[in-house]
Amino acid sequence: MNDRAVSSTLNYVLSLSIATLLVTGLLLAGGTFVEDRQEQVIRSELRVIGQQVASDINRADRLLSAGNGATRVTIRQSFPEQITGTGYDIRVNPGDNELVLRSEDPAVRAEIRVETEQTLVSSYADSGVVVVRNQTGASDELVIANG
Amino acid sequence: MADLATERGQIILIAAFVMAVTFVSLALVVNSAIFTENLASRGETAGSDDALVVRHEVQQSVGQSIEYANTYDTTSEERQAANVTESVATISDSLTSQQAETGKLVVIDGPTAFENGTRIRDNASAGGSTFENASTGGAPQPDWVVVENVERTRAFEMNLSDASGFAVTLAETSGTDRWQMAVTESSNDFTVTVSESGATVGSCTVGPRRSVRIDVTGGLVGGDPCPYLHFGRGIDGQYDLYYNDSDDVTGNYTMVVGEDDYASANLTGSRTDGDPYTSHAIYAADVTYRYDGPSIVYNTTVRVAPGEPR
Repeated sequence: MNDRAVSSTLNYVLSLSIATLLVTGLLLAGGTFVEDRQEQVIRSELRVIGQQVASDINRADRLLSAGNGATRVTIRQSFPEQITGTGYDIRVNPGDNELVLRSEDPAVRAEIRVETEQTLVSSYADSGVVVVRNQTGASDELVIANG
Repeated sequence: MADLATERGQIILIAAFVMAVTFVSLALVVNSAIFTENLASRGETAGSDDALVVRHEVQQSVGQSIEYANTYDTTSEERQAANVTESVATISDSLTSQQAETGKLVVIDGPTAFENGTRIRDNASAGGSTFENASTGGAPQPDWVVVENVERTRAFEMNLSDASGFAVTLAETSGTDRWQMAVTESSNDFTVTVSESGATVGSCTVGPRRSVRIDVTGGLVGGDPCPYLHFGRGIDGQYDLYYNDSDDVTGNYTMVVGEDDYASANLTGSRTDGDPYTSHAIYAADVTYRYDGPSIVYNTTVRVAPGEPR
């Protein structure tokens, strides 16, 4: 008599655990997929923003090359404060002639080459409005900053 | 049993909720990706190309006013400078109001500096004359020095109706490099041959036609670009400009050299004394240029020397 109703309880426990297992698997896979996509999107977004800043640097470079004597160039472009929910920063690395962009969380890094006639000076800008300009008092030194 | 029935399916419910949140975040990520594509296809937004276009416009307009002053008022360089200054103010006003329509501020100021030069011209009427020197230096010579010890020449143009072996030679003052442009004509075909340090670089032929216009500093033969014609390529520092066999050519020419009040026995001091003659001229002028757009600021000095070879 004690064995009665065991099979229905067992059946209940079994189906519950199988359902939990399936659902957990589904959630894990979904979560990982979204995270992967997020990282990819952040990487390509950093790259695109880097290329935009690099072309701004090239534009400023052209204007400085065309200038004569004391020249002042400022080019402003606005970028999103956050990309896919994370902040980022841009750094000019004159040693390797490149821009280094890094996001905070998840930490993704992108490097963009930039070649200029004028001298690139080590400088830094946060997300938001990025200004490319020449150094005050030096017509041939390019820096980036926030504007 | 009835109570149990209402509490069934929580796992699926929670799972569905979490999945919904996942999909929403996926949508956000995809949205970011779309924004990235949009940013990637964004072209020139700052307007740096426009800043250069307007700068070129300034160079052209101020250049025209310098040429105008050099042609129509040769009394003194002061008067020419006053003329150009007046024109620059007018150009600035019209540029400012024209550019203001598209939300930009463009102002030109100056000129802040002038470089005085000398214009040398042979504009004998009725189809021109041969290119020999002025007879004030004695009998006309077919081979003669047009200018000595100059560093810059601009707007050197000639109009020839006849040529059989005429050449323009540049020779370094303190060096051995030479640059030469020879012009020959055969049954109305004009051929310009360029040689640098004795070696022929190439030649360009136009025709048949009755006359040809050669822009020596601009590298144009009969209005078409001649790829070999680079005025004074390979010449460093000061040079002398010679004509060879100038009795074998008929036409007119004009040039502006970067030497203030240049005078020589080969040239007369005024048009009435015969060809070729010298006159006061502005060689170049510097104007300050300011371009303020919505997202660009560009301030610089523009040097204007119309027809100066690069």
